[in-house]
Amino acid sequence: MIVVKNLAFSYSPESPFVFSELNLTLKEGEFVSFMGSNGSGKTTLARCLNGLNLPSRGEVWVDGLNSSNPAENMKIRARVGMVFQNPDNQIVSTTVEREVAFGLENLGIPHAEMQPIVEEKLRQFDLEKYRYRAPHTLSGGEKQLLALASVLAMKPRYVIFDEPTSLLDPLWRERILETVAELHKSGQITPILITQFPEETLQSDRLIVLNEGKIFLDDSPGKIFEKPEPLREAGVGIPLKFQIRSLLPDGYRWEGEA
Amino acid sequence: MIRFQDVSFRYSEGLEGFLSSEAVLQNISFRIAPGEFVGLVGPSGSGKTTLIQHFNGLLKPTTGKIWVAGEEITEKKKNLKEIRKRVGIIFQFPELQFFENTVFEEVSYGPQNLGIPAAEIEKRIQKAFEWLDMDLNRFRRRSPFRLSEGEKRRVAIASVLVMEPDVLIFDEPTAGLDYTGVTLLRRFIRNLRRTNKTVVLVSHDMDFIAELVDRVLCLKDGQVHFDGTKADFFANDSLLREAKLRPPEIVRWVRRLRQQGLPLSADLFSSEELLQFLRNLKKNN
Repeated sequence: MIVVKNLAFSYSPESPFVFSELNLTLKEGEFVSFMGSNGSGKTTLARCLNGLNLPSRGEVWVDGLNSSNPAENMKIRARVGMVFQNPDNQIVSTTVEREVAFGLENLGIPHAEMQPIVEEKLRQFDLEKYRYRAPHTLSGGEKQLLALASVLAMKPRYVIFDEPTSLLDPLWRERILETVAELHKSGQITPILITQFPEETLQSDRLIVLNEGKIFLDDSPGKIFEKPEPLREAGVGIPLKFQIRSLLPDGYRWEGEA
Repeated sequence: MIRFQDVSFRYSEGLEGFLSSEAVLQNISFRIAPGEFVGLVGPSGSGKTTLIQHFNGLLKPTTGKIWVAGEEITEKKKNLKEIRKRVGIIFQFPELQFFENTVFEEVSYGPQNLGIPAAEIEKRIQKAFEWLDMDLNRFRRRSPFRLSEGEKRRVAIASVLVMEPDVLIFDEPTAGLDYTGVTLLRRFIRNLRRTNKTVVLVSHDMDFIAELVDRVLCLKDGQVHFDGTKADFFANDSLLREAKLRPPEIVRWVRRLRQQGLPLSADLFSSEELLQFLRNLKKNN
């Protein structure tokens, strides 16, 4: 469980607060999505949840670990993984295999224990054939899978996906989203998805809309998309399906995929 | 306006040649008339970005010829300065190339380099900001680095617009933008219809393409997979599947609602128009 208590955060003493009094509880096993316009605080909050940003006031607790405590902060970073929009910003190694091992090496895992984990992740994400390739020679989608494999190698309980599909073509976008859903269903991780695409949130249990650093809406995506006005206010789009639904005359079908 | 004749391109051997010895582009031929709006689509790695870098001579074809506004730009020793004024390319994340202290300096950099007088530059910037729905006075002195993503993207577009190109090429212009940013950008590109500019739109977002262009050029493995009207393209599911694309959501909905007997035109490609149609239907019932 991740508990955010009275969180206030600013990047420096001179800059304004991104949040001033934020409270939030995320349950393990619950797939949560976050939406909000650029500048609403989504990424800043995500970095608070995995200990990269430390609270200016208030607390962030992950499974009983306090992010403001240096020793516990390191544990939080291993427990809450993060996959970014642009995999180039997180890939550091010279080969695919080394990239998957990188995080484990940093955690000081002995080589003998590391190797089977690396093998398993390469297999799980179909990356064995690229083992000795340089990551930069992979396509954008393959790089995103590699980033995910490397994060999962560290066996995080939670993984934050920060707009993971916005640079991908439609097919890769679907594949990454399906992968996230499968990882959730099989109980491997609790996904936390940040996205600009309202349709992507439909597979989650809970949607939180941020607006100007505040939790503006917090409900199931289905409930939230039924009411267009607050979403407009927050500068967030609505899936076409829900817009059509509200206008469709009786007797026409709108359920399911068009 | 633009003509490609049998254009092929491969990276020179020894450089990236050892990674991809195959041609990136193969025998590409097409013409784009002035004022046309063309969507350039295809799976990642199909050669879209490589292709648009040929439009103003950033890359030169290994074989084949290219004309822009009647001039062959593939001639040896061609001065490309004139061509680059006529063809403006807005690359993915153009804001990564910002380097000036204020928005005004950033946008005036290009025309200043061409020796355009200050009064004329001011006029052009005024006009560009009007087109982009931005209040110049509010942005003039601000740092381009401290704008929102959507504002940065529009400032980057403004710095291309002030060169007054005849052809505008957008490479994934919606990437990373939020709903408001995308909505403003969509309106801006739609309004370009009122000018006689030629627009080439590269995007993974099929709904964005469907709404804004007339014609689709689809690349697959460096070759032209389809070239024709968007209606023909989006009606052909197997063609789309071969190019690893899916029909736009709007097309799927129109199809489905027509099957259920709603009197919708098959030529409807804008979700706003579809919603307006449904609103009218509701009102008249």
